[in-house]
Amino acid sequence: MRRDLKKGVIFALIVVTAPFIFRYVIFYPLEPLLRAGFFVMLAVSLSLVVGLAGQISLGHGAFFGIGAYTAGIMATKLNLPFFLTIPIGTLSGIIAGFLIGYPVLKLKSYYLALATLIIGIATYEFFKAADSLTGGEMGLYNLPNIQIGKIEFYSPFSHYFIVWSFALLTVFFCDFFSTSPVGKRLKALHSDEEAAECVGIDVFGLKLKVFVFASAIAAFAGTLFAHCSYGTIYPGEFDVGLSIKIITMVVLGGMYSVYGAAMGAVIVSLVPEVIRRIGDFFYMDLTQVTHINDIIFGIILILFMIFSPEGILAKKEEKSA
Amino acid sequence: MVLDILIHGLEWASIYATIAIGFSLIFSASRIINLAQGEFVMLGGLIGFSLYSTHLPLFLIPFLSAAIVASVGIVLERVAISPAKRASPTSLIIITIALSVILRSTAALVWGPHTFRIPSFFAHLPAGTQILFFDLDYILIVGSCFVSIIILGLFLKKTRLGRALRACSMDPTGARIVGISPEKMRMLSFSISAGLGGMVGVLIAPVFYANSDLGLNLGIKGFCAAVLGGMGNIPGAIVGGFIIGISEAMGASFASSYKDIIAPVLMLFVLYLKPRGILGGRS
Repeated sequence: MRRDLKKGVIFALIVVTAPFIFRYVIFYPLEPLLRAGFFVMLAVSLSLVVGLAGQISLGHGAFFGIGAYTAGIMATKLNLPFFLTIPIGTLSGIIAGFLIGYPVLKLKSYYLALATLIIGIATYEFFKAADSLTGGEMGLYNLPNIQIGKIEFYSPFSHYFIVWSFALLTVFFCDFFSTSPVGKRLKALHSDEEAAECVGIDVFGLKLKVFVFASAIAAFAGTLFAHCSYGTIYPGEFDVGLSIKIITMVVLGGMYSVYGAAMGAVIVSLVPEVIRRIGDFFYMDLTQVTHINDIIFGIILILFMIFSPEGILAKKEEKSA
Repeated sequence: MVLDILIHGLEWASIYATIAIGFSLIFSASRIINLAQGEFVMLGGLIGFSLYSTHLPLFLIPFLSAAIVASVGIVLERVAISPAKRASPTSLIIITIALSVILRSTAALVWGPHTFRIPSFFAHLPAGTQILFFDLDYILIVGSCFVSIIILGLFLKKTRLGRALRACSMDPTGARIVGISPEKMRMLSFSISAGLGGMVGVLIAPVFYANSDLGLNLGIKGFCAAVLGGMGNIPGAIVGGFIIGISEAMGASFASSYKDIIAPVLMLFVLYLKPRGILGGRS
């Protein structure tokens, strides 16, 4: 418990100092750090489903998109303020999580993987197709920033601190959750479903609860994204690639660890920037760099799946325990 | 209009069915769901275009392209799938997703974001030549899909190798006892599926063009078709391909922007109601 607290404090310190280092030491835009904040929320919430409960989901990005679009539509079409759009967006994530989770979590193993993957794809196609609602391929624009009274939070710094304060809260809360009695029950369910059922754990109900919980966090992150994304969201941001990225983060961080997933999220969102710098050096254009980036992460994902399906951090914890 | 829907549906149906068979073949030989299947089609089209620009005779290109893509399939199986012995079925799915990302990005790096067109295989005939109202390109696509499905069926039923593959899909341990190597069968299934995909890629290139982004969409549809008919079930894959092809053609004539949602939604329904597919047994 103590060690976790230390980990948390170090993590928080890094988060607070990072934007200043980016801005004043290496003179770099804050955008990748901001993105990392959203990804931390997504990866950490997915790690509860994948790592803790052992249920694979390859469509987690769908809930992020549902949250973002619900909040975006509420804000642009109905002119609702952020303190209404964010709860409504989160609620939409809860409802979607329940509606999707209820039928899908009855499936096992690769059927579950396929169903979630397809749900992610179908959601993306829906965002693209329903243009009267979602703006189609062009997406929604003129999304308002978060505004309290007369103060409008439009600068990258303010976005960064809003997003990361919630990201940190998510990390701490999910960490607390995974060591709570409910978390322990989920671990039991993960290692042996039948045994868990025998000692009186409501296996399906618990799976559904954690799935809905994770969807709610993802949708919440989505609502923040709608209000902190410089005014636009478009379907391309919520495609299959997003869900694959999230699962890569969870895998990279060691499937079982909340902090690992957070680290994975930071790595997956910052490494592309390094590759981009190297690419500039060789006069490559942005799309080429993106492709090289995808190839590198694809190879990393395969290597992890071959040599250490449990991830790096998980192994270390096993040894120390 | 009904006829139009049927004709277009049939065209898509035969393409989807062929891709779905690729999924089913690999699944039955090794219980792996290879989500990179659509990328084989994409790769086939692009390689076909590169071969075409070397002035090879046109009729050779589908076969050459199929052979090249088949060897790519074998290499991928050796490099990425075969070493993952401890991996769970879910990890294997993640590996094939990573493979599809790698293939797509590599193709985009090599060929760029451009769209390539291989000229029609019947360009030397007068334009608009038809047999019974059907364009020749159309007949070629539907016909060669059917022919390759039939050849594959004969291969699986009549030859020693094909029977070994089927034995492996029924019972890997039993197959190993009588001297069939599941490893080799998995390699074989990857090469056949990849080759089939590569050939389809060239055949559709004169009509639907070749592009590095083509694979994802085709892969999803083919894969929905395979699940619809029951994974690992080859007649099922054909039925699934037809259901998706025809319903998509119907959907496109009513609400064209929603066309791409039809396949996933159909698949979800089937997965929920009958996880083993329409032609599959009880689970």
